[in-house]
Amino acid sequence: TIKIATVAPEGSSWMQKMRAGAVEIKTRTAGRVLLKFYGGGVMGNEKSVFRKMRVGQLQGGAFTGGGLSKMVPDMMLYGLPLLTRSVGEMNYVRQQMDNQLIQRLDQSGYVCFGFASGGFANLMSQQPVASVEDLKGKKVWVPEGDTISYEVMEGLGVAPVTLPLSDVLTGLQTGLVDVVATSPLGALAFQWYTRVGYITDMPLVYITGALVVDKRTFSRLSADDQQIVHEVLGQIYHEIDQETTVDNEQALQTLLDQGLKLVPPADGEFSRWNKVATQVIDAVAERGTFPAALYDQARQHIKDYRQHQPLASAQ
Amino acid sequence: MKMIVTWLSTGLRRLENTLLALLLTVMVILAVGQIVQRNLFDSGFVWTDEFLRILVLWLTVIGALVASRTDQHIRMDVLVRFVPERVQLPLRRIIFALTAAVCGTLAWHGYHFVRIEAEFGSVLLGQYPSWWFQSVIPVGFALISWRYILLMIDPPSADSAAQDLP
Amino acid sequence: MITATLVLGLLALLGMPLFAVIATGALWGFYQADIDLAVVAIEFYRIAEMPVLLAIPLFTFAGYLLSESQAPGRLVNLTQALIGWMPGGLALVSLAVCAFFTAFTGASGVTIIALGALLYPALRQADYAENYSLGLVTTSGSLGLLFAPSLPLILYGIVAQQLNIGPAISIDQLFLAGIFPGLLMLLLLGGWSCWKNRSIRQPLSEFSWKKVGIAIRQAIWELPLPFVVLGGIYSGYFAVSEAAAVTAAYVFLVEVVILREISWKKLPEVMHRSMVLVGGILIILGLSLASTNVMIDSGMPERLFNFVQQTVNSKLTFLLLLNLFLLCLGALLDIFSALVLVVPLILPVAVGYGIHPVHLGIIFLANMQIGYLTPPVGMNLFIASYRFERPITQLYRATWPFLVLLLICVALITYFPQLSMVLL
Ligand code: NA
Ligand code: NA
Repeated sequence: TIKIATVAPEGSSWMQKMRAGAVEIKTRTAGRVLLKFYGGGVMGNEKSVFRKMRVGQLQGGAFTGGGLSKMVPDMMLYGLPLLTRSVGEMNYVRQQMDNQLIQRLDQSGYVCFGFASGGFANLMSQQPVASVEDLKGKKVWVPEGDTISYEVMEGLGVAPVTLPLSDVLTGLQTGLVDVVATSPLGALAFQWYTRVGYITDMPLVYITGALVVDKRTFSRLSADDQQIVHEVLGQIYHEIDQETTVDNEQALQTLLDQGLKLVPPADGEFSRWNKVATQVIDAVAERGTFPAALYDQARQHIKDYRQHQPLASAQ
Repeated sequence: MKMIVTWLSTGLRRLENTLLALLLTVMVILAVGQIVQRNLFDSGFVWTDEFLRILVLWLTVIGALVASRTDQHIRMDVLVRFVPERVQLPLRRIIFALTAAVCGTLAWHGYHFVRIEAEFGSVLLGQYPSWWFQSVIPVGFALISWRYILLMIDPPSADSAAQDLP
Repeated sequence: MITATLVLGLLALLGMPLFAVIATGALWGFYQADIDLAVVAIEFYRIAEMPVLLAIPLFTFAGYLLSESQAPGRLVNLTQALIGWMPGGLALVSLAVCAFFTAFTGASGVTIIALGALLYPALRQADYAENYSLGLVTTSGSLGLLFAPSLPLILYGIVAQQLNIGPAISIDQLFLAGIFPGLLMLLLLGGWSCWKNRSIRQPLSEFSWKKVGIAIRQAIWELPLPFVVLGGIYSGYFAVSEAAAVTAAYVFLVEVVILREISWKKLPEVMHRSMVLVGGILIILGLSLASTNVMIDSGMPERLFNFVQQTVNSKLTFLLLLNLFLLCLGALLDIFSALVLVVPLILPVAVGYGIHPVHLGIIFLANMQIGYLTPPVGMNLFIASYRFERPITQLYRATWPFLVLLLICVALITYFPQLSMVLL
């Protein structure tokens, strides 16, 4: 049995897909490989899940890019704030680099079945936020340990609050945070939308998730079984990844129907954020916290893309 | 030998008392300071939230350790009241011994946990090895175990325990 | 499995500290499942990963500071000046002040010790019957459990949030939900007290605005407290943990710095005692995270859920059984252990019957409140017996009418969810 934990809420479409996948794997391997999923964060936050993977209570987990970067710093790449400006740009970068990241995870002892996009995160807030000035005096959530986003916020003159993902809803409810950044899909899945009223129409951070399984456990399966698990889970992640863009549009519509309002950013805000973000990332890369080589590669890909598709990247 | 033990336990008590007061004071100051900073100066310190949570862990363990001195832990002692007088003392000794054993086991596996964390080089508050902060778990449970060994050797009278009600 | 449960139960009954019993269960469970026992420490460490927990030491410290100062006396004076003229006036005063106080001190016996010493002699002096007075003071010791910011309310919220089952709930929702059920208890006990003591009343002329004015002036520093806590949280200005921090700092400033009723020399002792209580509660919480994890790992909640669903077919029957179960539980276990051990098991089942987690929380705490008074092991009975030097059997006799009234309240709270849910 491979036990896998996730913070995805029980009953979400993600969990349904994974459970269906578990059934398929069970039938195709004649019961040799059993996947058991623990949803809703009952096994604790991402750090707890990692700890439990180390001692062997769990063999796998579904993590966010930020969570993975605790284990393998390279995984910070896609989650760098304002790395790209559009879905098109991001898709191009991922086409070029996904395999490389999967390899890096493998080298660190984690088998990964592909990345799934969560779409772009937008600011969601209890009061409308059109510019950095609107953030003053607000408690802006930054994922725990996401030092880059933290420094970007500080660079903009905002005092952020760090919380683990699993505590954000509570934080919104208890007033510990009042501005969060997430995709429409995330806001729906985690019920954060019940506690915010406004969405700022500016893509800030690309969200990715990945399911990883401990390599020691995985390599004990027969080659055929490994192949089957790769196929099924890979297919599921591919599907989730493909559907994200559409789902996010639907989710956004649902949010707007729920009475949330879209706030257009003030003039010049995007370039203002972009400038600060680039400065911070450069500074972090220089400090060596995060491998600059990957970042340079990604930037090169973006440059190529922009040259070939000037229209699509104009946004 | 006995003198050394007495000397050590007095020292330990003082240390615990000081730590308890210190941790709580720091907690109040930081928690209030953070509110003031956020509301008046629009600033904050990135690690305050995390640090406050670590303080809660430390207060928990040290508070529990202090409660173990005279065995003031929450319990349900229904049956004990109906046990004949002469069985009471040996029974209490057995229970204290078992408690000490359980805490010893917790300490040992807590040590294991801390070692794994150290091996993987996880950090807290941005740069400090997390095992510095987590060590309070094995150390705390080891000391609680020690306290219960002392209680087993020299159990307090049943009446004195009642006087320590909250 | 059954043998293990029995052994654990026996250890608990023989007086092993509950944290050790829970730890034994967790260690044994992980051992059986062939899982590295370091998981117990990993789970315990989650204490440092729950932001709301911060509220517990801070509120407890504030509560202990209040009870060590002369605030209880000032509150009694004020309430006395306001409602003392009614029939059974002093009884009403006791109920109101105790409820306020318990909300802050979390029903840990502090209320009986701090206020009982004040109210019991006063009641006796005003010609209230001995048993009635004893019963009133003993019962009042856990009254107010449902009012913000009581520790059990916060703890229930924390446990329920960790489970993440059914509609998402928050602690401020629980604070709102407790208001009417709590008032109902006050009303019923107060009404009965008025009727029973209708002969004891001060002449109406005793009431004077001047007296009220003096009492208000005396209690001027404590009066803003409920507004800071409740207003701050309900208006969304403060997070629960922030409200706790502000409360602790404010109470400290008032009682230690301004009024100087607690000397600097005495301060370490107050800190010490409050943190021993906090350590005692949170160590149980930490280890119960591990024992809950054993259960989740082995799929026990689902099995229990299926079992109950097959056996009990109506929501009404389920609620009735739930009440019976909780009353027994409350008679055996203290409120904190009961919360962290049992809520993870019954919450999924209750949600399956369409009970809102917030409503379940109120039902749970209302039942547990009665547990403080039920023989053989009600904690309040022992504390009162010890504090007022009366045999425990006399306390059984003194408290039973109050017990009956509280049972009626619990029934109303259980079968009229609106009481809890109307403000949400
Ligand atoms: Na009890
Ligand atoms: Na009881």
